[in-house]
Amino acid sequence: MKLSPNKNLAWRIIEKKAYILNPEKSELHCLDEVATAAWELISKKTEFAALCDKMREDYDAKKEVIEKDMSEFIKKLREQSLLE
Amino acid sequence: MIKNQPDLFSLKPDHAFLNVGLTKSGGLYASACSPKKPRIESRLNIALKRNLAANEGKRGFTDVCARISGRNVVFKRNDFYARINLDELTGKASVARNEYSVNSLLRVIFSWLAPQAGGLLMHSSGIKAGNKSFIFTGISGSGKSTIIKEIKKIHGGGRIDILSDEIVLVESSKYNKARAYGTPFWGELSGLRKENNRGNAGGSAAAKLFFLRKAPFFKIKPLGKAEAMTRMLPNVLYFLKNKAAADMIMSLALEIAGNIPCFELFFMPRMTKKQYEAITE
Repeated sequence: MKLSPNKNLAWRIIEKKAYILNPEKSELHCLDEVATAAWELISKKTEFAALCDKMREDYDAKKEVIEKDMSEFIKKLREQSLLE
Repeated sequence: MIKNQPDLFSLKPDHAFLNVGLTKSGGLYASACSPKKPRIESRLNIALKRNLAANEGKRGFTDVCARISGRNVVFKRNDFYARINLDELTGKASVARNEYSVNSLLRVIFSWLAPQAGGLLMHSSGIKAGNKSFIFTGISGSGKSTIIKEIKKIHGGGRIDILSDEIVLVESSKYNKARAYGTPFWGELSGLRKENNRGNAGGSAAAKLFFLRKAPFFKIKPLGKAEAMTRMLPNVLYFLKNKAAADMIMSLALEIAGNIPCFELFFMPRMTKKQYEAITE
C-alpha cells in the first residue's frame, strides 16, 4: 500500500525543514532535514520499500538501519494523523 | 478601524442589516452604510435574540464550530449562529442580545473575511509611533495589555496611538511590505478605544512584530522567517478547519513573516525609555 500524506494538511518546506499544519487538530509539526527528505518522498506517494531504497541511496546507510528508522518515522506520522 | 460602527441596540430593537468588510485603504468596518468599492464585504441580516443561552447566563460559551456546508460557511456557538453564502457573501445570523456575543460574532466573521483580502487577525496589541506600527503578539496572559500600559507610562500617561490591546489586523502589502490596522476588538484597555480609533484609519506600515515573553530581563532576539511563522500561527484567529483554510493561513503567515522583521521580546515591568526606544527604533 502506498504511503501518502493526509489530504487535509497544509505544509511548506522552508530552509530544508517541513512545517506541517493539521487544521483538524490545530497542530503544527516541524520535521528535521532527514525526516523532511522522507516526507517529500511520501508526498509523491510511495511504497515503504521504495522509500527505504531512496533514503539508503541518499544517506548511504545500512538497509537495516534505514528500515528501522523509517518504520519508526511512519509510526509517528500515523500517530499524529499525518498520513492517509 | 471600524468605521461608522452602529450601536446595534439603537437600530430596530431586534434586527439589523450590517455590511461587514474591509475597505480598499484597509481596516475593518461593520456598518449600515457601505463604503464605495470595498475590498471585500459581507452583508448580514442579524437577528438579536433574547432567548439564546448566553442571555440567561446559564452556562459558559462553547467553542466556535465552523464548517463549510454546500455553498455556505456556517459559524456556530451557543450564543450565535451565522450562515453566509460563499458566492454572494450575503447571509443571516442570530446572536444573543448582549455586547459580548455580538462582538464575538463579528470577530469570527472578520477572521474569516480578512484572509480572503490578504490579511490576518492576530492576538496582538499594537501601537503607532511616527508613521509606523509596532505589533506585540501573544496568547492571553502573555502581556499584550501590559506592554501597552508600560509604553503609556513612559509617555507620562499621555495619549499614545494604540491599535488595540487585543486584536490587530496585519496584511501583506505591495513591495514586500506589511501594514497593521487597529480593530474595534479590545481587551482590558477598551476604555481607550474611542480616543484611538479616530487616529488609525487606513493603517500604517508595520515596522516590527514582537512575540512577547514576560521575563526578569529585557532582550530583543531576532527571529528567522520559519521561526516567526511558527510563532505566528497559534496567534492567528481562524476557525475553519480544512485544508484550503490551512493553506491560505500558512501562506499569509509566511508572507507576513518575510515582510516584517520579527523578534522575540523578553520584557519586564517598569520598562525604561531606553528599552522603549530599542523597540521602536
